[in-house]
Amino acid sequence: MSWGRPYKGIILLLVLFCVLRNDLLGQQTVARDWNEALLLAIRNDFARPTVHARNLFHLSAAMYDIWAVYSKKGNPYFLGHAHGEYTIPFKGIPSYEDAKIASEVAISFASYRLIRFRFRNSPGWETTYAHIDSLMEVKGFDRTYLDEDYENGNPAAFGNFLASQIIAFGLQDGSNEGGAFQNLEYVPRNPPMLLSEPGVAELYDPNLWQPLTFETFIDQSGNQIPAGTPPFLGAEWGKLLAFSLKETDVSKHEVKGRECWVYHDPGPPAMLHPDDHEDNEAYIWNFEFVVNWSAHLDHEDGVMWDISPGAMGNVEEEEFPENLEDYKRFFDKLNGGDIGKGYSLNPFTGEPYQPQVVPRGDYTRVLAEFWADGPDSETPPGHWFSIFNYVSDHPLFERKFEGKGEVLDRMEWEVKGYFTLGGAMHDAAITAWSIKGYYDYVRPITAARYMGKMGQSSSDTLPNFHPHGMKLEKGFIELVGTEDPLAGEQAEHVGKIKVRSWRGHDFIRTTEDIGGVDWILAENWWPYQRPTFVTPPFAGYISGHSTFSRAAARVMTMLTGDDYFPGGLAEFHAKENEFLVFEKGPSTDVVLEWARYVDASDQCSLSRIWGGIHPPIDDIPGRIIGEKVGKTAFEHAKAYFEDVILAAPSSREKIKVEIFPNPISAGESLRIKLPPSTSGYQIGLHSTNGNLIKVLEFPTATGNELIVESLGLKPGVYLVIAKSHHQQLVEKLLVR
Amino acid sequence: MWKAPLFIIALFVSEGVNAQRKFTDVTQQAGIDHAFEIFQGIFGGGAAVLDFDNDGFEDVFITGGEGMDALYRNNGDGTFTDITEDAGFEDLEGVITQGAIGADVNKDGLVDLFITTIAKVANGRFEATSNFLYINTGNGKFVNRTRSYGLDQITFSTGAAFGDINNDGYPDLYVSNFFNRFGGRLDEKMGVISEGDRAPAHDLLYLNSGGGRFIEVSETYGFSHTGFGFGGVFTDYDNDGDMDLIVINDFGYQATPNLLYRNEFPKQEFTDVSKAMGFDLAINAMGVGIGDFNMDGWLDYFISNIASSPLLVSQGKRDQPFQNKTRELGTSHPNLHTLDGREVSTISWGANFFDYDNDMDLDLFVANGCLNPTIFPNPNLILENFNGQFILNGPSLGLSDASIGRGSVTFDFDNDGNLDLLVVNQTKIGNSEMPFTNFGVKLYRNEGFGNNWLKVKLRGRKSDRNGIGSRVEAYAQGKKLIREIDGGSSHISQNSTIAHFGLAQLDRVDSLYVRWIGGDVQRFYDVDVNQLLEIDQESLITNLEKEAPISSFKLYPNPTSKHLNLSIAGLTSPGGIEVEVINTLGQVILSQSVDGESIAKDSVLTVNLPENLPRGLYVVQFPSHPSIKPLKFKKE
Repeated sequence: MSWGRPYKGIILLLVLFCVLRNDLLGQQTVARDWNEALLLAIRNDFARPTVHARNLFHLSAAMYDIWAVYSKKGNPYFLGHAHGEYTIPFKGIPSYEDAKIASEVAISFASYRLIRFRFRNSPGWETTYAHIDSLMEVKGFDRTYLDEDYENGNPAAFGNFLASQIIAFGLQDGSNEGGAFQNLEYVPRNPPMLLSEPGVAELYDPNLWQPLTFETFIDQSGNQIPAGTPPFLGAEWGKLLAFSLKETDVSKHEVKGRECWVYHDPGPPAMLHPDDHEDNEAYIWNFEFVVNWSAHLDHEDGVMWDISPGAMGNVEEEEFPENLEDYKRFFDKLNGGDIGKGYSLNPFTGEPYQPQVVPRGDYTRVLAEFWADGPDSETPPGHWFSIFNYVSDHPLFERKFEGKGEVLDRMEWEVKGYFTLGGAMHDAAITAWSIKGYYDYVRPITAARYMGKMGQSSSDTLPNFHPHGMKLEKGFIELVGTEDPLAGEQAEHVGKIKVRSWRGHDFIRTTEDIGGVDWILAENWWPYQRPTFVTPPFAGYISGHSTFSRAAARVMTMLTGDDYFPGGLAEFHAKENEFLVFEKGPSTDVVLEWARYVDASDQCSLSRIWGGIHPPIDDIPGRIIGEKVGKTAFEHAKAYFEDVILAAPSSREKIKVEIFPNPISAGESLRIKLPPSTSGYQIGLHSTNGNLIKVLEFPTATGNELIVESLGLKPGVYLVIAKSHHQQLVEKLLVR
Repeated sequence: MWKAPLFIIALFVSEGVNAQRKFTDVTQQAGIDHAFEIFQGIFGGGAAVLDFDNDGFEDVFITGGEGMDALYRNNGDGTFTDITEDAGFEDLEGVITQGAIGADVNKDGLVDLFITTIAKVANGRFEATSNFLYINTGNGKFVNRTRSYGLDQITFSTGAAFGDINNDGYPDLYVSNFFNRFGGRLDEKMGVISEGDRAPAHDLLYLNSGGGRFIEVSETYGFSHTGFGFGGVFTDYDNDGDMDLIVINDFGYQATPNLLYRNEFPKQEFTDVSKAMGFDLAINAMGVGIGDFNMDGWLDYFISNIASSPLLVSQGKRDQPFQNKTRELGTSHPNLHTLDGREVSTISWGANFFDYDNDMDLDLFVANGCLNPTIFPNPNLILENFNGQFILNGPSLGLSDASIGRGSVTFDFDNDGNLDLLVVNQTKIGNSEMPFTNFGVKLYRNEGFGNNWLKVKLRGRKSDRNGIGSRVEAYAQGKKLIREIDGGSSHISQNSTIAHFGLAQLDRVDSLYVRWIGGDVQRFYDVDVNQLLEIDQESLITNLEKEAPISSFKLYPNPTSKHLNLSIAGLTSPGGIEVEVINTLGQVILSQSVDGESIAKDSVLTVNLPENLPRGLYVVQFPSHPSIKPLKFKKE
């Protein structure tokens, strides 16, 4: 398998080659071509997970819509439907002799226009433009064709039309795309950290996020003046129009006159207070944890791990921790890893998984690099699209929706899969960032350096005591003594906190060097990240990686109807001394292996702790919320796939079956109302996969209203479908 | 039925259309080879667009800082010739020039030049010196008349602007100064500037006395502020037909914020309305872009700054404060990504509203440049107006150059109907990591976007010769497009004095108004597009004006005291209608837009008159519908 890593030139060549080859062989669909073109554009853009989740969703929805209207299957998402205050008008399209070719043309033009617009300010725009231009050329399309009047019968015009509508939609969806996605109200409350200096600036509040200043200039008085401080990315993303998130999922809070929308509010993270001992302990434990795990990034410390699914992974959601004591049991703070013990057998082969024993320091570094979301990465939403493509290509994989029924053609499988996954990633971004924007929670680089500056909180009989200091732990966190090599020439560091940790970029001159692990002053602590990136520019709580990955793993599981990767195993090969980017390594080949989709997701979550940018308190709520988001997004997407005969393109009134109350409590009676002057409908209650649960008799005597006494249903989503000989009306019903 | 699609057959044929839709750096092929040579640090670099030889091709004067300034003659074939040496600018040698503006100060039909100077270097020391007025004597010659015109005060000046504040037809002059005293070096202490030896300066307002002399009248007109000035800009913010003044101040939080002065013409007085109108921004203001980007008939202002630059939006009423909507409308870009992925603070200087894609709405160019000698690449911004909201348009448009930008101007140098751009860039000093070696002025040719346009050149008689400060209004497709002729704006620069309108695919302009400073109004109906229209103030009735009034509204009650009712039954106008009340001097008292929906719904329009409206005769007119007869009424 070869997804995800940024060997840009090679990937570009490979993609071009694939396009040529697959076009000849007719294997790769246009949906796949354009999805890969978007992933390439994302790799060449700024690391903006929120923005790219939205890009992936919008392009996927465009492709799905085009496929749906040309193939006359399912119900389109954008076309003719209101989202927020925007409706993309749709007058229907003419029939085509070859609807497949027509939809390929339309998808290509829509994708080309949308990518061109969305990446016009990208640092890699030249590469991106060159790639999509050549993709159009290879397909034989005239990319200068700009007509949007699709009633002329040209599917290219339809593609252009849909792209320009989605562009206009995107300029009012709450993302502030017009203003380069900047926040309108959020202001960081801590002054920035100057990365050229050790330690941390005087903080307004050590619980809150702190911007990082990369570039400074020094005036003649010696003042450092910030010149490059990335702002909080997406602090107000909670106000975006979502895919499947509901109003009932939102709690609204106010911070400094700014209204925050928080989806699936997990409550506040661990905070430092002047007096709350318990919460202080949780804060200190969480951020020390990140520093401790940083000490695992040494491949020469002699620790060897079996990283195969036979020895790690296989954690159930029910096992996720809830309080500090649980966290202490779930994670191993000093040695690394979690409670996952792996699988005794591969259910596909019936054989045990092959052990793979590698240095812990290689595994952890490869993991941190593989899931990095910094420069040159597809960001987590993009990673999961690559995983989807990998699964789709797998020889053991059958393209069955939910693993049932007939095998779908490639195009149908891909547009439905992209649409579902895109919707889930968009919702995951909105949810996670709604929480980030509200709680505005500190990152490890700030917290670790802050605690180090405060001193130690182990004992007030030892030097340098402060209740916000680190807990001393022999071999991991200690005080600098007078004889210590870190004491400094004037003994200026004596009494400070030192930590055993990855040493940071001061020890890496070229990419042939290795940072290594040793004692360093806590004030110099760095996360294992690129020096130009250090820590993503937004608050930590909750982890975007955990939310995205768990939601995506849930979607993959539901889409394929299988917990396991095809064949019970997915692999990624990291080559010896090639794979790591900013330092040398790994010292041996490392294969990342996952049995179930959630195993990949869980490893992704852990990678952020080793990467030094999330404590466990950011991670676990992200996983729990990701589960919910993934599940809901899948159900929501699936409802679109129900075949609905679209009303003919005319000015006919919108016919709707009305159901209320909705949501309904189990045991409550349901009222169903058909529009007047309609008859001949058969009404049924269906499960979301379309199975008929109950036929609902329509008494002619009471006109168009039907009251159904207690339905006796379990909580969940159902469909009320009213069918006539020429029409099908569908409404979703939520039973609580 | 779709069978063999034509577009597949038309493979690659029209390649190149996309490639054309952008700006091309034509500096070299146009023969421009000039850079602003910075002295010690930070300051300077502007340009003035002028047609000094009246050949119909606009020329440009570019300051040179410590180096020589340059007057580039437009040869009319896409190239320019530097004629500085023979033109008579010898006195500029050895002084450190800053900005430049042009106007016909003596009304002899030739545009003259005013050039600001921050200092001269005498014996290695930095000393204040006078600015320069160069009178155009024809045949490509200019004569230094600074002293005889009374403009030889010793100052540390930055930017200046021309505008006729007393409606006598002669351009008056505002000169903005930075320091009153200065004893240090300009590359020192850039972040902290107000110390005893570098006190903020008084600015200077000069009345043009009959074209032969300037008289300093700052105190008479009520100016007593001091500030770190980067220029004054004359503009009619309140639509009352006279020139108000915006004062641009750097380090507004340490000295004086920006100022807005309302001209109380006919009184010889300006009133400081900065606070009341929301102009008192305590920021590092560098320049101003002027334009009615939302087409509501009132001018809006983009104030360039460090980090986020305010966009001051008129509320359409002269007593309501402007609102800074830069965050909501997408003109705030406090951080920029360099092409190597770093994020740096934006430092903006030049600012120009112009319709680069000729789609009727005004877009915005912002010239960025790092402080100098501290160098960070700081790419320029081009922001496209998208339904009244701005979106950043990327490097593929060809304008995201990261040179050390300062002043910027728009003009149509090749007379193809598309506005081109010239950006004054500084040479670098000190150590830097700029990823390129070209630090000079850049000329960008607009390759066109396939839309129609109209240009209007004013020939003033009673008013300023080139119509500086006058308004040109185009009504087309129910939209009202206004342009104010520039007497100096952007950053210490001056745009073309030819009004330019993009007209999308329209093939005619319904009506065109010229509102001269001084009160004259000219109207033209049914104007053809894709032409340069020259309008002479003397020919108040021109052959362009066609027989018009075909219908009229009923107006009641008349006389009235509070409101007017207009019976508009029978009018269909999906694009809406503009209603204006003017007094007998032609000044607009009230202007109101009614949208198409209301017209369809109501048969009567009600116009509420201002409470303090003096009694007398007034006229209601309909600028968007010139065919409807203006109506008189009496206010009791």
